[in-house]
Parts: sequence; C-alpha cells; structure tokens
Amino acid sequence: MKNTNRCRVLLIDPDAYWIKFALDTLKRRGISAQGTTDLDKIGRAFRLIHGPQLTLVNLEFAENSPDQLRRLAQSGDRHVVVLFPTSLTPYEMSRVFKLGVYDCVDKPYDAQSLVRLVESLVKEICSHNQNTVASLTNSCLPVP
Amino acid sequence: MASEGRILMVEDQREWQVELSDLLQEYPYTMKVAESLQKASDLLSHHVYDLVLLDLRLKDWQEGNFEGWELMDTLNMCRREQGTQVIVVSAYGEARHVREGFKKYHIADYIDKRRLDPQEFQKSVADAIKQAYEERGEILDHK
Repeated sequence: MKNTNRCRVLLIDPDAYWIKFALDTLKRRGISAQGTTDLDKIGRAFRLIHGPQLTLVNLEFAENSPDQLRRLAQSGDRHVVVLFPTSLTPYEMSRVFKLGVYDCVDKPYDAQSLVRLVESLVKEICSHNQNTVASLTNSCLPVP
Repeated sequence: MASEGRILMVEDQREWQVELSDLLQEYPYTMKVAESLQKASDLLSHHVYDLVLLDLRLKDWQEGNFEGWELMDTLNMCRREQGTQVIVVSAYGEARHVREGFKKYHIADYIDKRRLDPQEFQKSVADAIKQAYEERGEILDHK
C-alpha cells in the first residue's frame, strides 16, 4: 500500500522511556508508529511524507518551541495533538490551541488509555479526510 | 471614520461592558451589546457581525451557569455563512470549555477575564475581525 494511504502516527516526547512504552504498546495493538525525543529530527524526517499524519507532541515542546510547533501543525495533512502531563488552566490551554494544534489531551501513562486515545484520534482524522477514510481505517486500526 | 468591524458583545455585567468597550474605543469598530441570550439571538438573526465577544456566565449570580455556551451552535452557523468569529471572554470558564470551543466551534480565542491583558485583547480582536473579512473573501482596508 502506498504511503499516501496510511495515517502515520508519530510520537515526540523528551522522555525516552515513555516513547519506548508507547511504541511497544501500539505495536502490540498492531498500530504502526514512530517516535523521537527530538522535535527537529521529526520535522526533517516527515517533511517529505504525504498523507494524513497524527503527531502526538509533549507539552514541553509546545512551550519551548512554539514557532516550530506552529509550523508542524500548519503543514500538510498533519494533525498535531499536544499531550499535557499536568493539568492546564484555561489560559494555558488557549495558548496551546492558538498554535494551530488539532487537540490537547491528558498524556496517557497506561497502555489501555494510550491505545484508546490513538484509536479515537485516528477515527476522527479519518472522518476529517473523506477521501482517505476507507484506506485509513483499513490500514491503521485493527478490528477490535 | 467608517466602521472596520462590527462587534456584538454578549455580556450581562455593566462594568465589563464598559471595560471592554473602553479598550476598543480607539478603534474604528461599531459595537452592540446584548445582556441576555435572547437579545443576542435576536440581534444575530437580523444583523451580520464580524466578531462576537461572548461571556459564558450570563447570569452571574448562578454558580455553574454557562448559558452563553448555548449560543455556540447559532454562532457556528453565523461563522459558516458570514465569517463571524467568536472570542470567549470569561472569568469562569474551565479547560474543557476551551478545548470544546477551539476544537468543536473553532473559536478565535479564549480570554480569561481574571488575567486580561489590554494589548493582547486588542490584538486578538483585530486578528479575529481580519479573519472574518478573509473568510468572506473581503479585504480589510487598514487605515
């Protein structure tokens, strides 16, 4: 299947242990994902990839690299979701959304929450991308 | 000076009506105020606005009242048809309102009254009005 028919799941988080946990969890569920602790690397690596992408980014990057995150969120068919490990005030959440991100959610620390989050987000992206809906559901999400 | 922005302020408290109006008085905007949901609905059904400044708690004495939120479906329709933008201005909003506002209703901004920055507010209003013009395919003539 061509790359354009797949929804790429990308994880960007400074915590290498969380990245490993998340990748292992998603792999067990049959969801293909890639992860990095470096926002720069992911930007370069995926600039040339076409098609829908779900990118989960730690809040720390949103706060430290707002311009870079804005570019990431506004380029191509990419849906950036910011994961926040602590509770946010309405003001803080507003600032994050104004960077152009698709959503802002609690960072999942257990396997069940992570899988549920990724699956529901991919389904939402599928419904946003009418043209690729069939291929997305077929290629990304295993039938429960 | 010709108006370069039609604003509807949905706000029940007199002091906030004055405060927000004062912050925008130097700008070429025209402003209408609705103190209630009913009045806001009436005005929206008869007039086109570039921007709605929406307070969430329109009955300030009622804790947990987020009546302003009931206007969001109407405002969403106004946005689709006329490019109307929405800035929520509230002292009582919760993070879930901000999330739903941006994600579901595509609000232009959420401003917390408890930490209102005049310049940030003025810029947010100007950006939202510019966006309304752009969504209608019109050009805003900056003087």
